[in-house]
Amino acid sequence: MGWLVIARFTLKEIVRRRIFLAVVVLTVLLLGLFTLLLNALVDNLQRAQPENMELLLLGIGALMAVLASWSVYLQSSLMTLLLTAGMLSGEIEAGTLAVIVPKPLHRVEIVFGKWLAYALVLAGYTAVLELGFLGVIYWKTGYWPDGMAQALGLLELGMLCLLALLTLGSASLPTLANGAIAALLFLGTPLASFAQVVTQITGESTTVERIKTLFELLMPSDALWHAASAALLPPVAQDLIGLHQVQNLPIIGAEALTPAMALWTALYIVVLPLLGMLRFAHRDL
Amino acid sequence: MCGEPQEHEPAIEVEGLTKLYHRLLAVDHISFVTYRGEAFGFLGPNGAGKSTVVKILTGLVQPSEGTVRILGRPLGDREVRRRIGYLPELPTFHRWLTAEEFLRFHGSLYGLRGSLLRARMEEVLALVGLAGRERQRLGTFSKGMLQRIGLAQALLNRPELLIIDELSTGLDPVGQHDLRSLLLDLKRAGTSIFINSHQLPDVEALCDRVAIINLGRILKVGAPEELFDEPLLVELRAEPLSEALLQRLAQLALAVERDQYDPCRVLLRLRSEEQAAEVAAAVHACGSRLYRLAPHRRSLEQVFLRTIELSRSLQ
Repeated sequence: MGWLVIARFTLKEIVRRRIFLAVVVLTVLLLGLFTLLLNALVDNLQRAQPENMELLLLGIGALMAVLASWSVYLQSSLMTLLLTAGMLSGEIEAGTLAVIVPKPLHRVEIVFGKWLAYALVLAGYTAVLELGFLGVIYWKTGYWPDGMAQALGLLELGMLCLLALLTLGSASLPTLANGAIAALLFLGTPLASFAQVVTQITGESTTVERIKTLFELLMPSDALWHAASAALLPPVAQDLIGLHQVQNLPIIGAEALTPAMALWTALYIVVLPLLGMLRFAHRDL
Repeated sequence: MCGEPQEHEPAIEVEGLTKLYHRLLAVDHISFVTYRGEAFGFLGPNGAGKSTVVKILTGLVQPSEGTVRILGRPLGDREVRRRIGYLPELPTFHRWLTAEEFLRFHGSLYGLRGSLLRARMEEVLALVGLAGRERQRLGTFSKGMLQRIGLAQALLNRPELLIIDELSTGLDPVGQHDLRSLLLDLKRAGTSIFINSHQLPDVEALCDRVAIINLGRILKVGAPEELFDEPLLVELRAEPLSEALLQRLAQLALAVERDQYDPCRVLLRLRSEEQAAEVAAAVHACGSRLYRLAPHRRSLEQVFLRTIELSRSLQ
């Protein structure tokens, strides 16, 4: 059960590192500021006493749910990048693995234990943040998305995709190279979405579609985010902003995850860390 | 267990071991055997390939060719790893841990739990002289203390084989002495020790046998005293050291080397110990007084430097 010892140790390490405390403090601050912001917005509206106040609040709630969840998606991805880019490579570079690897455990257990600890912490962080934002929105506007569980699941899958890529990179590359590659892929995928929006307006473009598909295969997190945003917005709201005509805007999408993409995501999340384990098991330290 | 090397039970068996880093040949078909209860020293200059060998033995680096068996089992066998302790060259540990947490973590990796782990932790902390430092963070430890806590984690499992990559890095003379004493005690208790070093006093004080390695090849293996396998070197002090006596000595010895600072002292290279008696007789016959006639042994350091020099000249 060496993987369990490594997982426990990694959890302890995450908690003890200053970054964890900073993240907790900033998250509480962020939620507090968001509550104040939404409170001010609703107060202003109530003072104006518009017609259909209840409907307006629901509309604001739906829009805020998407925007806040997009912020959760970015924060969760950034945390994944910062915490795990050096998951293995950082320890190799520091020399701390030199006393761990000769112990009676398989190298695969080291990777799995670390992956598990980071997956648990980041999944918890994503869930707390998402539920925190949606809770505040429900409190102030009364809006609670029907597809909340689905959206949260998709956000978690997006985080796991990035973690999978970083696990493989961390087993094979120096920390800086790993972080840079993952960041470029993560930031590059939305660019493909933006290009697709342009072609949706100007006309069909097979090339752009193909490039976008290639980007999504390399890093499925943007496709997952768009599917999550579709789950957060009720169909009536999607109709109102014309999403059904264009399917995807840069931040908001109306497309659910296709079975093919769901299968690819599952493979991505499982196969990449396995490749990382294989690479780490055979590399020189 | 007794402290004498158990010649028929190998601790480490290495056959044709080779490591190629891209185009760089770090270890070139080396073979050696160390025995249970023996302290075996691996000596070599920087870049000789000795750390690569240690990394292969501890599973940090994969060999390109060759076979390695440790305590009778193939390299990487999990059960064998339970019986090995390893102290790396650079004591770079997780600095946010306290000494107690550090040992608890490494003990858990050895499969130790509960009261047994607690007892072992107390035992090794006392052995390395860090009792009372349990709650101190490793980040506040000196280099010498990190070396000691590193040794403590290597001893948690009461290893049958202890592999050490450079012992005295960062230790003051007292610390070096204490650690050498500790290792001698472990050796007496039957622990096999493989020590990789360029600190010759460590190797000379601890090791039953020594291998000298350079450019990835083993140049010499033997007990430190066996490495002095050169013609007998004798130091002679006599007064006066007359020309007649010097001529007589030149007839007897293979070589006569005068001391430029001491006119009464010469070094004689003899074929055998019996010739020493003839030297004494020659001194008396020439009317000189004999003050000293003693074997002049090269230190391990001199043998080491001479071996490395020879290997370089043969390149």
